[in-house]
Amino acid sequence: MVKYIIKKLCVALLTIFILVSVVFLMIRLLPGDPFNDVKVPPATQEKMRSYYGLDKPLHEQYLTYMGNLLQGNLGYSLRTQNRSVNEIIVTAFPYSLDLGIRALIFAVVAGLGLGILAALKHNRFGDHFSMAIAVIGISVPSFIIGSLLQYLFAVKLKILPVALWETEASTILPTFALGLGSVASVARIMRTSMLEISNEDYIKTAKAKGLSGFEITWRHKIRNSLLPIVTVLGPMVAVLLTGTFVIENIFAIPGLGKHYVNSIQTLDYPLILGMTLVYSVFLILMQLVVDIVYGIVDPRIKLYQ
Amino acid sequence: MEEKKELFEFIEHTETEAEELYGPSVTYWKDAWRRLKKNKVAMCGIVVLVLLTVMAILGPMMVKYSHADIDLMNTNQWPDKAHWFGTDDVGRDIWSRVWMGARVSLFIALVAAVVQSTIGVIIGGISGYFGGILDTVIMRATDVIDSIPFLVYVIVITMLFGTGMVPIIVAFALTGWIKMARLVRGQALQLKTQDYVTAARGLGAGKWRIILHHMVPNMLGVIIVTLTMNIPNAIFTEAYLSYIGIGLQPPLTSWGQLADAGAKIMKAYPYQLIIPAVFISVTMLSLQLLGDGLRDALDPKLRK
Amino acid sequence: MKRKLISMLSLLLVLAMLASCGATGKSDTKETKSNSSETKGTNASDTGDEKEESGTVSGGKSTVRIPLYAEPSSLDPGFGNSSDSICPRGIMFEGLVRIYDNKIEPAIAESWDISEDGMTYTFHLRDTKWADGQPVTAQDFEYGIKRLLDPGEDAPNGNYSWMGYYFKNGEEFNNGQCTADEVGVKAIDEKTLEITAVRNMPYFLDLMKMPCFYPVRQDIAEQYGKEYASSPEKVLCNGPFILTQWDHDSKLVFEKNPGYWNADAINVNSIEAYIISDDNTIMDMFDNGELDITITIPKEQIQTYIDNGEAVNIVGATIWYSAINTKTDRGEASKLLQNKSFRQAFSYAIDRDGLVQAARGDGSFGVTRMMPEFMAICDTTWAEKFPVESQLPTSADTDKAAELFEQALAETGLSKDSLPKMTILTFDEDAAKTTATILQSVLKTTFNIDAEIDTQTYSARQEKENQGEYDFCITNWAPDYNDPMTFLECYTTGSSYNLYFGGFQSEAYDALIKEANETDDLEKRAELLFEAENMAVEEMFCVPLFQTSGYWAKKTDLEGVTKCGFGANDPDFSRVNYVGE
Repeated sequence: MVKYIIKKLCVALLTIFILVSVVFLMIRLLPGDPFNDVKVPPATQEKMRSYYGLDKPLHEQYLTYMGNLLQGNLGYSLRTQNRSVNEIIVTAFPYSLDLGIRALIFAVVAGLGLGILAALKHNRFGDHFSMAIAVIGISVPSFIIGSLLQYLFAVKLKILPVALWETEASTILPTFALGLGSVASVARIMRTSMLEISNEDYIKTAKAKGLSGFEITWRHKIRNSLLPIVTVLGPMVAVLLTGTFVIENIFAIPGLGKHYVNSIQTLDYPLILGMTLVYSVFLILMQLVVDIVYGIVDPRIKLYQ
Repeated sequence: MEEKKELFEFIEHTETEAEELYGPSVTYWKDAWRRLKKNKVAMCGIVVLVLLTVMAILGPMMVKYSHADIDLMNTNQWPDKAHWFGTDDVGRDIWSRVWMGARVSLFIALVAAVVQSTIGVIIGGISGYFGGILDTVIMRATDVIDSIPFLVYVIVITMLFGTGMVPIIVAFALTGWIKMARLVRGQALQLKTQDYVTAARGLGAGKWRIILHHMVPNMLGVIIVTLTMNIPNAIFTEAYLSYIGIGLQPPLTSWGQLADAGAKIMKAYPYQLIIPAVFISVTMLSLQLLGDGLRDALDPKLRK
Repeated sequence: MKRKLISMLSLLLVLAMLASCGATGKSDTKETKSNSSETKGTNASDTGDEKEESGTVSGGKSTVRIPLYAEPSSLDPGFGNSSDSICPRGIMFEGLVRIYDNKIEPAIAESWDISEDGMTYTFHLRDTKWADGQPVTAQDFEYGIKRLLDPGEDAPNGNYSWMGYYFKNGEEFNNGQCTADEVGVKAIDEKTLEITAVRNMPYFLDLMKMPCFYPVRQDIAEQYGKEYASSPEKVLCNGPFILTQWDHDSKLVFEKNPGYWNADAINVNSIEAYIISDDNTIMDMFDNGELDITITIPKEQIQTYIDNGEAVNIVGATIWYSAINTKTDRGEASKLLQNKSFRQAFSYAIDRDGLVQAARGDGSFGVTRMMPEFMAICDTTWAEKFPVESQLPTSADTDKAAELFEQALAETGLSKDSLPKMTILTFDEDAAKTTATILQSVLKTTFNIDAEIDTQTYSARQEKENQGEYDFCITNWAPDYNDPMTFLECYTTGSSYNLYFGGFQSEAYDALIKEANETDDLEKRAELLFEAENMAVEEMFCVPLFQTSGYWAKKTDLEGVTKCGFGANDPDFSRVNYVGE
């Protein structure tokens, strides 16, 4: 097991190396130049480029970047004065993480709850109710949900603050808006998965053995239905925890989300790479966790042989 | 005795004919269709989807306004007799725009579904079934593709393909299958340990036969649900891409774009958001209902 | 059964919310972190951090809460003018002059003398103090400007250092061709600053408002080097307020500067600026009393705020145009594009009033001249100096358009049945997209020309414009300073903006602008500029569409906050006051 994990971590490092290299080259393909501004004289533009080392040949820049990366140095943002990418991430990440964890807990608890309910009450009210929530959750985009929540709870009812990430009360609306889509996914997949399991022979056997309904649901159905949930949760964790532009924008939360979008629009190369790195590290680690959890949820799956 | 002769006709038969007296053989797909037809809710979903498709073709022809006709004297009109769904911020008739938009959005939904169910299922299936180094390589490659910011892809794609429908389809083909591939791989890992897969292998079934005939039908439930879940995402992604100039250019439109535009002014003119949102939701609901019906119909374990 | 279900569900939801609330206790740590970044007691504010009651508190100890669209990329005056930092820098620093109510007013400079040739300005500074109690001197201004231009390693070397090229030898110093002493900025004594311009510029004083010319104290700047102004501890303010807290991407807090010369005019203790990018969020917070001002008002809500007295109108100076590509070879289309009659026909065909109402709807209005009427010229405004009797109509004149179009067809030999297809380049902003959509429809209905819209991101559009990859292009121009030259100079052949405005190539036009730049006679200069504008309107290579205007909202008990139509429309807080209870 330990050997397996170490092996996987090595693969993960290699993956990240490849990813950084690919993105490093790809963002240089983007049209435009970070310092190309018609209002700025070409000589000044040249000065800025040379200050950030962008005038050197690409392979030299690449080696410099990789060398710095090995020391954990992600370079300086091109758009701000003397703010390192490390500092930007360290400042913004806690907010995204905080919001992400809340949304994740909401998504898992509510999603599993609704999904199980729907499966147990197949084609009855509980099923339709969860279906209704799921359809709303996935077909109404989060920016509309977010604005509607703001309008209803903050402007009309005045029970919650409109935006900002300051008090506990201010976390409720963004958590709900961010988590709703995931609640829908989890609920739908859990329902389907459980319905499939319900027809398995071992469930019938368990019934025949005289196990109580609760026992069957808890010990057999739910546990065995979790695999697809684990699969979707992996990337979901990475997406939720590393910040979402739309929700952070609507609720004025100083998380990572806006840097993803803005860095690309302003061609802030080091920041794009930094953001990509944060997300990919999360994603790849989560995939590793998912693989390990597979083995726990279903002992028959043996990935590390 | 004579009466009985009238009731029962004696049929001549041979030995071989007797062997066939089991009723017509029902294939898996025929059986599934038969069960789907019995499922009223799912059929309802199909009817709605067909209706929407028909309206996407006929809808714009039912009014005298085209989706592109600008009327600066009649902007932001609430629905009335002349404009059944009202007009937008430059006075275009929303009814005809909704149905023009339906063409784009339904097509996008189709593209998303095809991409996921082909590329996603095949890649996930291979990765999960074969396992080992192949699995590692495929899944890590998937991670790399997933980690590259979408906006970066999109801009690079535009450089290569220009604007319009093609770059959108390319963007979906590049990234739209990832969720599905992961899910199918997870399912495949689980299913390949099942007894019937071992049995099939023991009977000498080929790898592809096992994947396509034994494993895929058993994971169809999850595949279909994921398929339908990812469609709205595709519809709104198209809207976003079009907004930043990569997709369709005005006056063409889509449901996603209409909803986006409506959301910006929802406090003053809520109908401009509600109308496209209702169509997106109804489509989603129909797809979910159809998906559930299909799941029930296709589940080999439910086959009687 | 159903009831049981619903109660179970609600229980689940409540559990989820509880769980999510208790997930982490990070917000507490944040509080402490922000407290620790308070400065070394430059301000004796005892109100503390808890200002939950928001800005509705009255009297002399209140907090004004304002929104900012984006995190300032830098607060260092030497680093540049980027629009995201103009407002916060205007709060914490003050320059020689300031624009208040659209007029140039003395700020740190109490008065000034201008030499006969209009090249040398002598500023007399008033008594005012830095946050640490020391007086602000002419040397601080001199150092600030030289630091901006300094090509040395430790200087900020921002991308706006070229702003200093307006001063004599500024460009040379920045390029390392002369020493700092040769730059035309000199402190004669503690209270007298002499600045020599590179040429006679009637708009020179207007430039002096810019953040990059704010004073910088040498001892503090040298202590922190490139990190100057990167946090409240590393900056010294001389403005109406002092920066005391800067949580990146989240909020900035400013406390009143007791040593500011006009401190008596301010009865507000602090300003809290929150970084909020979404206009709907800003409006909702404003309605809830969580903010005291907004940045803009969405067009469909303007009437509501006018009715409750919170809306403030601001006439902007940005003009939107549809540039017509007269330079690049666009194939068959160029025949029409390079034809003056066609360009004029296009201008006549546009219903500017309807267009601006649909595209903006915020009080912006159709225009047919190249620049705003209120641009300053010879101590008066452009429109008063040169009233145009027979202005083009802002509504469409389709008959005239059709007539001119027939003429264009005759001149180019094109037939009505085989007109070339055209492209309208625009960018990803609602007003720009709507404008393009309407012009597309104008081309179709008036001339039966099929046009395709090409939407690009803002920077990609600039790139395409620069390459001349357009037939028509939606473009706009915000004046850099209050003088017609900021508009008219753009159309010259040598201008780097030439292709942004249709790529007009005319030696006669270039000569007019050159002469205007060289003459010392301001009256003659004005005449030359007027002639240039007339030529631009006649040639119509760049069709003016509308001038921006807009509204912002402020709480009725807040007074003394103004915005200037020029520049980035940033609010000025140098006289902010709460009135009433």
